Amino acid sequence: MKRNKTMIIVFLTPALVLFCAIFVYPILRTIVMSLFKVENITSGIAQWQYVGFQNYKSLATTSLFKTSLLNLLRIWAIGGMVVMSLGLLFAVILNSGIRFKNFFRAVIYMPNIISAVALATMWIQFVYNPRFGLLTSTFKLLGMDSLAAINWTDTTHKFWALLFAYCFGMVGYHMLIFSSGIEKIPQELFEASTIDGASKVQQFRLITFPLLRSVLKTNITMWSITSVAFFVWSQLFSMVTADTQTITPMVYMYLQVFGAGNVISERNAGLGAAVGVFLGLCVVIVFVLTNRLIKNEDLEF
Amino acid sequence: MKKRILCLLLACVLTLMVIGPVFAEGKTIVYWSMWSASEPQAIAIAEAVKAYEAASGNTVDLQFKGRTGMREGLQPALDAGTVIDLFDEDIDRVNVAWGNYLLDLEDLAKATDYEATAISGLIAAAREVAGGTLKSIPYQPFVYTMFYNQEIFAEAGIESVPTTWEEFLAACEKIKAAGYIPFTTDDAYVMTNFGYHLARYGGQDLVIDVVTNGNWAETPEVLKVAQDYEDLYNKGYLSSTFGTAAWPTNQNGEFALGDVAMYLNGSWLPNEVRGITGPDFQWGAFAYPTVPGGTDGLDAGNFGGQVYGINKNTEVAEEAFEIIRTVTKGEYDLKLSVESVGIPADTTNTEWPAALAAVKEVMANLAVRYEWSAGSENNPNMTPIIKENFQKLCTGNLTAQGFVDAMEAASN
Amino acid sequence: MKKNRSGGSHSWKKDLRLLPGYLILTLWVVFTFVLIGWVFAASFATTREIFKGEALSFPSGLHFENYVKAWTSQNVSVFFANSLAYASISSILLILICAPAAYVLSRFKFFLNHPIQSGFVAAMGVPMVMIILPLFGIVTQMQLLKQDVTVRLLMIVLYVGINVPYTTIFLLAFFSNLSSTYEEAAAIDGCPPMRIFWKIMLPLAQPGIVTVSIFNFINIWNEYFMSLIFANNDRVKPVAVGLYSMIDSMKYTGDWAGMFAAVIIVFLPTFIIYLFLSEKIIAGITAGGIKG
Repeated sequence: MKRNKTMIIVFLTPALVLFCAIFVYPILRTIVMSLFKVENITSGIAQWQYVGFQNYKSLATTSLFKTSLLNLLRIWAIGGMVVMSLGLLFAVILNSGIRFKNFFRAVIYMPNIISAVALATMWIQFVYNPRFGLLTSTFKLLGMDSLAAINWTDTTHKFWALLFAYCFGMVGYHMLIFSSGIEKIPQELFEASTIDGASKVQQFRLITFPLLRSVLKTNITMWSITSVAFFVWSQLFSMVTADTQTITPMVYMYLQVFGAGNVISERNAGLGAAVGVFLGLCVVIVFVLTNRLIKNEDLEF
Repeated sequence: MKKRILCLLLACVLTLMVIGPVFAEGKTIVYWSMWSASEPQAIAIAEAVKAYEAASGNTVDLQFKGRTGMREGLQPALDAGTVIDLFDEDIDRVNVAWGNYLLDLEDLAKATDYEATAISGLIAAAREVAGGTLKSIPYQPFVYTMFYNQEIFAEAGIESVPTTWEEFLAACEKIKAAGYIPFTTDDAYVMTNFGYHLARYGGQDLVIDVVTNGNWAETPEVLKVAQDYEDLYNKGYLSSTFGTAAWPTNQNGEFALGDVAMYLNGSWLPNEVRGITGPDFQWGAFAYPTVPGGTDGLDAGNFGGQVYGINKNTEVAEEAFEIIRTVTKGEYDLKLSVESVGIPADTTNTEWPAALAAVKEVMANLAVRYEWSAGSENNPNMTPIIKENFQKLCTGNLTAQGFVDAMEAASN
Repeated sequence: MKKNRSGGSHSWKKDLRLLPGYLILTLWVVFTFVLIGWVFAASFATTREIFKGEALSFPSGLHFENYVKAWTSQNVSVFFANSLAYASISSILLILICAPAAYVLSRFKFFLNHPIQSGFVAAMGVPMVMIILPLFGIVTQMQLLKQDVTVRLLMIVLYVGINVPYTTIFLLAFFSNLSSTYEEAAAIDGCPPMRIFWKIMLPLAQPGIVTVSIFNFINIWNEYFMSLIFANNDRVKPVAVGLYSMIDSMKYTGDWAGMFAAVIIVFLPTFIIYLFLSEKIIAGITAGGIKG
């Protein structure tokens, strides 16, 4: 036991030291700052103006911020379901003994290594383009004129256009995590169950899925963290000025910290900090909940 | 194997570190610019700076930060005390957001008689936003104006550019009859259509009052704006993706390729689409038309430019000002104008790029300055909501009264 | 069971049974190829052709000058070398620092365990802007940005530090999935716990380590905001900042073909590295097998 103690200390110290050096001060500063009105995020504490919970109150009454939260929630819940199911489906197919596994896996993951700028541009300017876009021309080819006439970036379709494009890029990442979990499941389990006459679907339901719980937990945690930071895609889908369909809390925070794109608006980094604190809390809540709901105990094999 | 790769990498890093800056004789001026290194503006400025270095024997540490780089990075750097002697950005951002860091330039300007060959309207605007004194020097001026395709106008038989809303509607009808779409814009600029139109009815102050105080239903002009654009939609004068296409879909697509006749935009437009239009595109421009019973005339519009600011803590103010003069006067101002299809800042450079010839007249008539989009984006908490409802209005998904109601509901 | 887990040769019967799987994957892959192929094609077209919807037919031939223009517009080769150094050194350091921490957090119960985990997760939820800008203030006051050497070292420390929570949490899941029978067996043989970790557990976690290293490498390669603020001159800039500035300038000059060329230039190296490492994952899995 004593040996374990030294081991715990030796193994944890480097990571903790770095964590404290880089995260703890800025985070504490952010929490404190959320109680102040601060014009520039870098201004010294002497220029901060204490306002108590005013920043949080004003967030609660700003309809644009509420819109952004609703968008985030939709991205997290709907996008999460889509990405998790597709990621799991692909991972299961990949590990079912098909040929060209490496090739398929490499291609499905590929969008992740392309910068978001390129991906988003590709979707907006090619897939969703109302003149020559992939969707428009495909629907025209199939004779579905009403679908071909849809402008995918208008107010009713833009959110879904954004969400779908984003999910397309994210599937590969979560597929990889699922896949590395499946690969760790002992092959004997499948072999034995095949001999016992279990179908693929039964194998998935009774072996793969239960044993993937902890990987699913990782996936949900990672998905929550990346969703909370949802920013670049929003910005690229509505360049210059924000949109009600694409705005997320991070975009709203950015507006508060750096001002709006075209006009010089009032900035309040304190309000931005409040958004940051709020988002951090959301992530912790999701993390704690998934830990509670998905227990690790039955995972020994 | 891994170790060897690591060693190799470390060696790479070390060699890169050794090739450090070589400090020359003379003073060093640090200049952060808003352009990106391969933009024509950046190339022209880099040449001007090189000429300055050769002439003065000083060194300029010139860094092209890009627009977001400046917006996100300059203030933290200045706050942290980084030496940045000279920087450039949009006139409002420099003077309002970074006003506290600026050196007063009145004396330097007087000493070199700078204003003698500068655009007086712009210098006045720079003084106005800085609170009455000159803290920034404008260059690369821009004017916001209605651009049109002269060939389409000729084909449709429109002899003179519309100056009133009535004439505008008549022109649209002719364009439509000739088989073209009269008017388009992208999502990034749709707010300027709303702002300009409302400002034509009641002036910029009214626009700002409406968007900041939420007097949508109380202001009858808002309904008039909505009705006018609803009318445009109903008569089929608007592109089906008016304001809803993701920039630059319509700008580079239907407008630059010659399917649409008009686009309300800044004078940077010809430069942005020149790769698509080619050199033969016949550019025309006119001021946004007046509306019946409106307060504002053709002499009101949004104009501005990039400006230079000098850090008030600088030790090389005179040298920095000399760089400004090199870029904004004579040879290099002309070069900047030619390379970037921009408006020259030096009034002795009377030759404007051909694509902007029509803009010259619009600019000459300007007397009242609108802010960006005539102030309609001044309340960032409302901008996305106005945009959404105006987009719906212009694509037939909302009636004029519906627009007013939706805005009134959203601002309560 | 050394090599292929599906065992033996593929039979057509088996392929037939897997047909739905093939179909789904092929559809997705074709779609991906169309998308990326379009970007690739667009990078050889002209902007006019792109907006006319003719990017795939090359009416005026291939325009290699897009690449020349994108490449020569910036010091791309220096940016590449910088990014390569930052990303590889940081990803290696990250494993050395985070794997032990993740192991300890996954294996031992002690009173700070859960607070540390929650702290790490919460830290990932806090926006980067809120972390980077205050740090920038401190670093400048410490005069660390005056020399290229310190800027480089600082960037590496920051890249590592910022990815510590993510890497640790990620590896934690992997370690908690490994059966503790290995350690128990080794402990009975008298192997000290620290050596057990380096000799047995770390190799067992190799798939996870490789995966997270790929993610780290790509994250650092594509990292933008921190590099923008800290890398204050062209000699220390990584490629992502260069890419953004290329894309920016192409966009504002309306040179969309050039922009796509810039995108491909930056995308290719990560892609090649990924292909190479993706083979490594397979190797890691077969070597690390769960057979006792």
